[in-house]
Amino acid sequence: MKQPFLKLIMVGLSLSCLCAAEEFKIPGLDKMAARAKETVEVTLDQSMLQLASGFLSKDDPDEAKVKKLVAKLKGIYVRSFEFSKEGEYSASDVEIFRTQLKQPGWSRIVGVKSVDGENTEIYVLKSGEQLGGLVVLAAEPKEFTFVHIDGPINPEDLSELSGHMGIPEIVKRKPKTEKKEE
Amino acid sequence: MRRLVFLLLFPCLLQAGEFEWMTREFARQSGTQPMHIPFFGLARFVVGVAHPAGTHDLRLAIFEHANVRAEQFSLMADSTVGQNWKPIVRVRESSGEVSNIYVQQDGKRVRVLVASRDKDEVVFVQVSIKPTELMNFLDERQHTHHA
Repeated sequence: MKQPFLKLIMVGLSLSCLCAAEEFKIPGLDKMAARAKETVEVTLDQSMLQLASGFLSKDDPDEAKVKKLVAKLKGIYVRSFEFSKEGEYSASDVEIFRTQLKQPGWSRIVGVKSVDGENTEIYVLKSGEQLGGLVVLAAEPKEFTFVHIDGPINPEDLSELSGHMGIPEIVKRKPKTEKKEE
Repeated sequence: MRRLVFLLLFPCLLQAGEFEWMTREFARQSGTQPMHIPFFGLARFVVGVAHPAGTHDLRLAIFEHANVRAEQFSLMADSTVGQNWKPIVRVRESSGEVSNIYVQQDGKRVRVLVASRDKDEVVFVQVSIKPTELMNFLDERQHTHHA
């Protein structure tokens, strides 16, 4: 199993059953999975996240931050498909995902297209002053990945997860300061 | 005294019973029997005493010559483990290897069940882990690795 997924599982296991979160219902997902050579599904609903957060200490400042971040999330869902040859999934297959993301509140904040056919889009759900969710669509000629983080999320908070639960440490860059002439 | 021992062992017996039930159910559905693993009882004893990486119990069942197609394995595994287990990861590879990971809360511990199928071999592994101990283990390893 690929390392990032192992890390994600570790997050799921360590993070944690009250009520089920609303998972994206994408029509045609099963058909896409059936055509794929390899599929990966990760489903961490609110109950799993609640369970995991319950195991984090309130006393440890670092763990308390992670606990607070995770407690707000409703779910983390990943669907990744790898195809044996190009053209096994069409633009219309991806368009189904985009249609779901045209619902009120969702807006596309990042769209990257490359000449070799690698397209990445990031959508966020605005919920008042903060983000209520995040979706990443990554489409390559022979690969398609869909990631949905459901719940209030602050991109800055994500860095709090680094160095915990098997997630690699993210070294924060210090802002560059201009050298004063002596 | 006998009652005390029984009360202490009851949760373990209950868990063991569930795993035994699962393997029996899969054996019934697939028409194969789990193979005998020599000295596995000793391995379980060591895990139960040493708690490596926060692991408190280990169960294993291997089915050889299980004639289960990759497409039907997940459905079969889901029906075998029952609704108390939450599927969190499902992986299907081009080689026909299928791995499903299920999780269940057990007080302060988490029970993890991995059901995998590769060619004609099906494996069920169940561990009972204490997440805090596992996380400490992973963090320590990470720090050692970076040092």
